[in-house]
Amino acid sequence: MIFSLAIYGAPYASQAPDTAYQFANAVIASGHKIHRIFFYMDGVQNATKLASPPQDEADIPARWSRFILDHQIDAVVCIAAALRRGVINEEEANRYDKPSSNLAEGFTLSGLGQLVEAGIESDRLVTFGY
Amino acid sequence: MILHTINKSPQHSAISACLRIIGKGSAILLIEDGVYAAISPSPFHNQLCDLKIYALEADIKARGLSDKVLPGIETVDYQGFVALTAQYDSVQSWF
Amino acid sequence: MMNPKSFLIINRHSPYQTNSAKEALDVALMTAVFNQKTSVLFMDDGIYQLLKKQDPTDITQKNSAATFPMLEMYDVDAVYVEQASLEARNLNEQDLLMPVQVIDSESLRELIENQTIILNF
Repeated sequence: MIFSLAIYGAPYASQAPDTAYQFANAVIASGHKIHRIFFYMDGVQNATKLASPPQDEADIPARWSRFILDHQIDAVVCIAAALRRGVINEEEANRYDKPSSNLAEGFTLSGLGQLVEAGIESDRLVTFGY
Repeated sequence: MILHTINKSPQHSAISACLRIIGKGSAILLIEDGVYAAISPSPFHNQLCDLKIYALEADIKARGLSDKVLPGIETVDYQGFVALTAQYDSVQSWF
Repeated sequence: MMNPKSFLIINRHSPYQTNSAKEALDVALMTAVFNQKTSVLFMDDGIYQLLKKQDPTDITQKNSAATFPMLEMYDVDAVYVEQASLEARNLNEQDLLMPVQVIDSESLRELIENQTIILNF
């Protein structure tokens, strides 16, 4: 079965990213496929590579990055939601004349259409709200 | 038939909204703070009894509720969560 | 071409305190852009998004209500408001800034069971 996930909660502010991460691993372990993980609303904060939590806490963004690269998952961050919250890749940083970028490896900035497409193309779309 | 996930405690509007519109044959999975509904005979408990209710084991354990889960509520692990989403036609998240 | 799926966007949160209202509306419009059958439902505090006379100038936000006419422009099929949520908030249809279909909980149950994809906000 083909799954997509939508994540609306920010790491360290909401449990949503933790639940979604465990769920995503269980989807793979159960032999299903993940079509896309879509990060929206405050969930875009999962895609920063600049988070530096204390060593005894989970590095939630880095954990996503590894998971996405290990399993070759299409991880899309809503570009409009991300830009207004300061999550930005190099290309957009240049476009908006910002001093740096912070989008972690494995994530792609793209439009909200990718959430709708994920809903259309997947057997199940599971939302993790804040 | 829909699997409804609820991630807020029973005092929050999420659970009452879900219970107003949930259809026969659909089920509820309590996750995150939603698992607090698994221990309390809340105002909604009577209705909860007529529905199939699941609760996420890791969230119950995290919150110290393991010995208090009301009878009739089935606990599942994350793979059980995935299996439920596959079993029902769609998933609706209340938060 | 992809087969149309039906989408129901449910708004349960008030405007302004969070960005939920605005970002939910963007999703509703996007599903319509994809030519999917789209309905929007307001319940619980989401109903406050539809109140007349909103003016968030002094809290330095955009009027989220100003975008609602777009729903019609984008051919969104239906805008529903849950009757129980209206009554619980001492509001009625005349308080709302656009025409909506007020729907009781039983009809809502049917509506929800018949949607392919439900997106809660």
